[in-house]
Amino acid sequence: MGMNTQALITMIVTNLIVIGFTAFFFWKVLKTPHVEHSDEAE
Amino acid sequence: MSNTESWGSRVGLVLAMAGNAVGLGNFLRFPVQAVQNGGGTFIIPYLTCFLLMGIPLLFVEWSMGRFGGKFGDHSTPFILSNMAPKKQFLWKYVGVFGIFTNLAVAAYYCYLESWTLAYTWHSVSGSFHGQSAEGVANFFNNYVLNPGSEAFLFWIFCLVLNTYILSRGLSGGVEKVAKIGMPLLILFGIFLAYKGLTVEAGVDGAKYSSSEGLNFLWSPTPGSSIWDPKVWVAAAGQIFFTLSVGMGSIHCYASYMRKKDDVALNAMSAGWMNEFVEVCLGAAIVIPISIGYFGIEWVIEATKTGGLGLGFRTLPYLFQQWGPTLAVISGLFWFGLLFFAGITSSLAMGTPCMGFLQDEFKMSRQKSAWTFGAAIFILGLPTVLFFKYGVFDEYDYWAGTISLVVFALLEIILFAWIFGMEKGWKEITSHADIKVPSIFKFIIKWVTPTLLLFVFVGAFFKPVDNDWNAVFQGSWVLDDGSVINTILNSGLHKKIASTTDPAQLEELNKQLTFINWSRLLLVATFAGIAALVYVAYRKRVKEGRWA
Repeated sequence: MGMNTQALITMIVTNLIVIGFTAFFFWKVLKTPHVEHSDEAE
Repeated sequence: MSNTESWGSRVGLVLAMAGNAVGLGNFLRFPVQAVQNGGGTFIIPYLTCFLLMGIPLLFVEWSMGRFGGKFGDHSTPFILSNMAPKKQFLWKYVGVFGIFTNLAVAAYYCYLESWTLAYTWHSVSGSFHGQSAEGVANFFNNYVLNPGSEAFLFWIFCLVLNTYILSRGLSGGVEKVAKIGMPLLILFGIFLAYKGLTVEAGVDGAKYSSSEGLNFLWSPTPGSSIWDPKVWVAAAGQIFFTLSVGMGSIHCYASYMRKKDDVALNAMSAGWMNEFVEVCLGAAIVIPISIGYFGIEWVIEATKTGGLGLGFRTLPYLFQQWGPTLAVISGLFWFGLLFFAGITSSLAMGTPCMGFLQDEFKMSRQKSAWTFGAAIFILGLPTVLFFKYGVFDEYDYWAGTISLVVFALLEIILFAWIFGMEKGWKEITSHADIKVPSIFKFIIKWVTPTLLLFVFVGAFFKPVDNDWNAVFQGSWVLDDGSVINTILNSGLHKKIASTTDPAQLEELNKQLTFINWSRLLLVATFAGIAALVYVAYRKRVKEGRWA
């Protein structure tokens, strides 16, 4: 017996949303250059 | 000695923050909450609460931490007092929660962590090989109810390991563990999720295929409704506890950032990483595998007391059905995953206590780490020795549940209403690497406090069976799990009143005594920390550091 359509859609949509946002924000963290602040000692 | 630690890298900080949030609850609490609250119905309120309560609280706590770090404060008593007008001196005592919670939770959490380590060892050494389901379940009961030298050994090892890593500092200890632990946890999780999603009826003794469990988990349960307040209270509660908000550990980690570091993107990344582990991996392991072997009815019954039983009593037995090699690998991965989830959280609990001791009493990093280790040994000992009398659960309830809600509610009032949303919004958005939608300004001021108030009321005045529909129809009978009835020990008193067996009666009376003593110990711990905060405050005044 396979999964029913409703469960399958809920599972896939939820997983896609969560994986999408996780990957997007982590990719942005990796991509955004680390800024060295010269005024740290202010 | 000044506290001048900092994070070695941005990825390290995000992984450490995600590790702080990811705990055993991601794998054991979330799927159980979903099962008990309508399956597929649960996910919409859950994600909505993440947007309306989880993300805003992450923004608030990260920015409060960075704000405190600018003034050299790394624990909540003085982070909070710096945000409040000077006449409102009581805020530093609200901040006591941010040390107390970490100390008390670490005290019992390290014991839980040591179980995962012990079970990793037993999985690898083949202790569960050839045992019946009852045999594996009894192994766990015996381990926790009658802790022998092995349980102590693993516990002490865990305490020493945590303390040693903490003594190595943020970049040299905590960050390194997060960089190793989080990728491994995700790797182990993906393997187990694959196994969970590919259980086949009739293969390796499984009665049902994974789809049975997945249908149960992801379809709306008949009779459940998205408009049921019970589902929303449960969803808000789950979001709250999964993100480790209301503890003070996020504030502490963020306080070691540089003052021009971003908080918005980092907070989003760490928060969503926690959601990935919880929703994508956590939902694909325990429930589909257990249902595959035991069926839906059995799992519903087994999860009534939480997910710990499935994780420790059931899964080690089920792994044996996959053959000796896969049993060892799966056991190693499952308990290894839980161990990494645990240690990255317990390390986060150590840093606020250490930060406080370093900032206020000029302790060295090593000395503050070993002081923390000694404190959680003393505070944790009753949870090991008297587990069967409910001391562990008592710590979990008061320190790991109620204190969090109280602190989060007070901190958001401070941030949005006393510090002020204009200043607060500047803290969140300054140096941000993403544009934070301005709707969050409204959400943080109005929606998040309201939701927290719901969680607060839900905990204090929980109706019987969490049936909020009955409340709206005018029948508000308190559940024995509500804060009010828990204080009164009403559930235990009922049991005592209905017991006639003298031996059982004696055990229940003993339990009552241990519960009351453990509460007293927790209150004394809170009072002790408040006294230390007072001493620190006087010291600051004397040294001219209290402007």
